Amino acid sequence: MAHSYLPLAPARSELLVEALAKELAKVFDETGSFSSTQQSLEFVRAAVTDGIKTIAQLSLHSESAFVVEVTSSDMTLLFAAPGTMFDDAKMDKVDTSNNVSAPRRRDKVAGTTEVGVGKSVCMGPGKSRREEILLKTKVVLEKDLRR
Amino acid sequence: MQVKKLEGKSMRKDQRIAELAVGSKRKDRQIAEWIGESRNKDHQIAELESDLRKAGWNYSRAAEHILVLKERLKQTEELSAARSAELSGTHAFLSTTDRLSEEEVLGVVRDLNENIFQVAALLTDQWGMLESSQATGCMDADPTSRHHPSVLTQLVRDRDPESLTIMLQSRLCSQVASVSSWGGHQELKSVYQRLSASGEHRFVEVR
Repeated sequence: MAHSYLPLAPARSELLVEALAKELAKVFDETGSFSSTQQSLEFVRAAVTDGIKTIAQLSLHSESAFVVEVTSSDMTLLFAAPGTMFDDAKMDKVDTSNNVSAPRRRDKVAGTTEVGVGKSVCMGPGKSRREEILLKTKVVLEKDLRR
Repeated sequence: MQVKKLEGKSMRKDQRIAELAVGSKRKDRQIAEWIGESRNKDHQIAELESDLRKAGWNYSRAAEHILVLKERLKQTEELSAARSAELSGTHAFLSTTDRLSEEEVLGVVRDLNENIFQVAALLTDQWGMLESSQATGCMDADPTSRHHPSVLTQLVRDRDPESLTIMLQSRLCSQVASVSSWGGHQELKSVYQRLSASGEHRFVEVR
């Protein structure tokens, strides 16, 4: 990319790497995988620091794309928080080893495995905006998880 | 005899004088013609000199005009450069021309999803190896999730690697979603949302 009007200072990238590592470590804390938060964090850092850096860079790249590079529409990353209801207009169900039935609107999302992309276009002065889903969010439903 | 000779000689001289007089008159006429021609030439030279002065004056005026035009061109170019610089600065905020196509943006997001999966899968593998090689000990779970664990959390506690991968992916997705789309620029987002809501902005997207 030639340039960006948003500050992509190294410090911001490093902060994001740190935040991602802490978020992953939190998973191991919540699931009781290690005896301390520090151990969880060290485990994450030792295993996937390079991968996290790549995710941070791509994340900042996508932010720049949405906010600066694409101006003809509002593009956003789509994410379904755990507990939200399945919406087939915005989500695709991930096939897990325990799929039992087709998804329904009252099914709860257990987790998002892939973010989606939505687009909102202004149709003109005083007119409503047109919403489109360019890439559906991939989710795992609670009912499909093994118990 | 001598008188006749003298008379003859005198007559020849008279004749000669008459001839010289005629020649002299012819020369005088020729001189008069030359003088006339010379005057004409002088007149023509004066006219040419006048034309030359006029041409020189016209040339000077044209040269001055060219200088003025060059100066105006320079000023216009400077103004144009300044405006171009200003416009390029606001291009991203006032342009309907995207610098990335939708497909390129989707490519970045697909790449992001792929990397999220790779990190989650790698961490799950490492976690699995730890599980099999040593007892990580069943550690105390985070008190915040101890009483009401999510389905995923409970499954991971029960050592289900697939659930751990999903949980890690979900957390990473949550983080990157919060970063993108104004994630680090809440004040700008607020201004943009107010503009959008006001309906006063033009059709052109303003960012």
